[in-house]
Amino acid sequence: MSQTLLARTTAADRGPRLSSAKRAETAATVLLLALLIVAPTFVSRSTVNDLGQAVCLGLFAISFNLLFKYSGLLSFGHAAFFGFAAYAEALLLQSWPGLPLPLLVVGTVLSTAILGLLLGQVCVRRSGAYFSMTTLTIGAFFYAVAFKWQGVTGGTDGLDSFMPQNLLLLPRWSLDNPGTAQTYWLILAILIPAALAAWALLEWTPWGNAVVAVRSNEKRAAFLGYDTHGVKLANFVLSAALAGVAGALWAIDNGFVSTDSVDLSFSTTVIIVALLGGSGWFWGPMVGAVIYIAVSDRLSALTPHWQIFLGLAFVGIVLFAPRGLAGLVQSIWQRVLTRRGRQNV
Amino acid sequence: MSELPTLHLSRIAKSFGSGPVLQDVNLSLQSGERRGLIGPNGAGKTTLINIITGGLAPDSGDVFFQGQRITGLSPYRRNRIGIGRSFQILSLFGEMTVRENLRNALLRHRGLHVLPWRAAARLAPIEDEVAQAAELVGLGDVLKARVDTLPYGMQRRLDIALVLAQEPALVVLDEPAAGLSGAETRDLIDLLQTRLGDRTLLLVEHDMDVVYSLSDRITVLDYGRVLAEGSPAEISANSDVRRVYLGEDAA
Repeated sequence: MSQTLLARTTAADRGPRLSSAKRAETAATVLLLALLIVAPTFVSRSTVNDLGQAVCLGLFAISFNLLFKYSGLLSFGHAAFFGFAAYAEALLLQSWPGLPLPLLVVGTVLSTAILGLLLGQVCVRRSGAYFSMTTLTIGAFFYAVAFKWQGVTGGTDGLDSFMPQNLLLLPRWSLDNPGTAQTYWLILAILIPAALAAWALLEWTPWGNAVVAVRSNEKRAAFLGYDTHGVKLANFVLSAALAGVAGALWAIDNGFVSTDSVDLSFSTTVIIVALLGGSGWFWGPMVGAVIYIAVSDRLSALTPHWQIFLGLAFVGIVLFAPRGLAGLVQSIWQRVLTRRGRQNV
Repeated sequence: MSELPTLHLSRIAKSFGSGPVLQDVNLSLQSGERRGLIGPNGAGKTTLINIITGGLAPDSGDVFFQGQRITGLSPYRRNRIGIGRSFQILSLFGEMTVRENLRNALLRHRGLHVLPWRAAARLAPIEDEVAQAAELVGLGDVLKARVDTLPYGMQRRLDIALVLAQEPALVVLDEPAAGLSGAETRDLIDLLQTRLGDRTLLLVEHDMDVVYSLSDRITVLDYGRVLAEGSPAEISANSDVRRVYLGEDAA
């Protein structure tokens, strides 16, 4: 009996069949997270390294989708937050090498959230193309800073030898070799709670209800007493903070930070990843990231022009499975269920 | 009854590019009063409603609600102090169910709308209130229906239910009978007569049956000015009003 009454009646609203869909969605969430946790035990060492990248990219794509799915806002510059966090963490560590890892991550995420609060004030005043253009400009600005401000960011060389020294209560071996299963699990230990908290917040609480109400009809929501600007801003800050978690973990996993993490093309990659996996499901972007990394890895081994094929695949997804791979699986599953239901009748 | 008027407009003026829309409009609604606001198309009625509920700022003049100056207040703040409004062109949460629409109104009204944690005990009464609010406007059987699949008349009822669910002191209705059939309009009049209680009403409406049935007093706007104000009997007898408005209707 852990479900709230609100959640139960919301599910009931959508009829018994869709209520089972909500249950299926929760089951799929548990399955996905369980798969991510046990994955290193049955894949190769290099795949574990890829997995670490994939889950960080996945969390980043989830943070993008927080704005896209729940607030209807398409950010073209989301890598600004991801990259800011990665650099902020590296710089924090340069200044205080002994900073315990949990404090390091919390400090990084907090500073990214504050950045989100400042930039969000400007961004969420407009929606549609204006929002996208504003975020694109911000993304370009942060890339330029990372590229040009060599004294701080290291320019194109980036910042390396990135290694938290003080793990506090965590065992020393967990970070000794970046890209190993130990590092991967350490990352998941922070990543999964962060993502689960955001999921619970948006899918199961009145707050999530408010965010969706504002997206659904901003004018009416305002005249019903919703501070629509505040709601969108808060969701923007949450999205920035989550991108910050992703960037912080990505830097730990990589052991270095470069301009790739703030590049505008990275902002578009995350859109592709989110839509590939399916923006309609909270965890869809995580699925998208795992597939994106797996496919681009295989393709890039085959041909230097792998991005062309990836682009074609993306166009195919948008045309033939607009709800992404998660949506595709869901509709197939639905079809199986109704067919089975018909046989039972 | 309190001495302060529920709504008081003082010398409201508003111009758009093409010229003045409202000039020197004064209006006072006593607590519990039901006021009809009529006038030909383009008289400035919807502009005035937007100035009252917060969608628009007047060029000059002030809006007072229960003695408090609210001229610069945003729509959501005006809602929270007790002003509820409906819309001439329906504005609902179309892809949500009736239940979800009413829940949006009631969670906000009870101040539970930003709860970032589960609080089942505090949310349980909301579901009862949602059901009651739907029952009041005859939508108790369609709680689970998606709103944009409902017949237009039902959507109109939901629009009013969203307003009434929040128990505002001032109810502002912008052409609630627009697009309704004769029978639906009579149902609407019944509904408002029984459910408004002692709330103050400002009603913009073209259907004179609705206006006469519900209003204690009527204000007539013409070319952005108050042309006349009085009881329904006085207004229907007023020769100026008959000429610019009712006469047109009869012709």
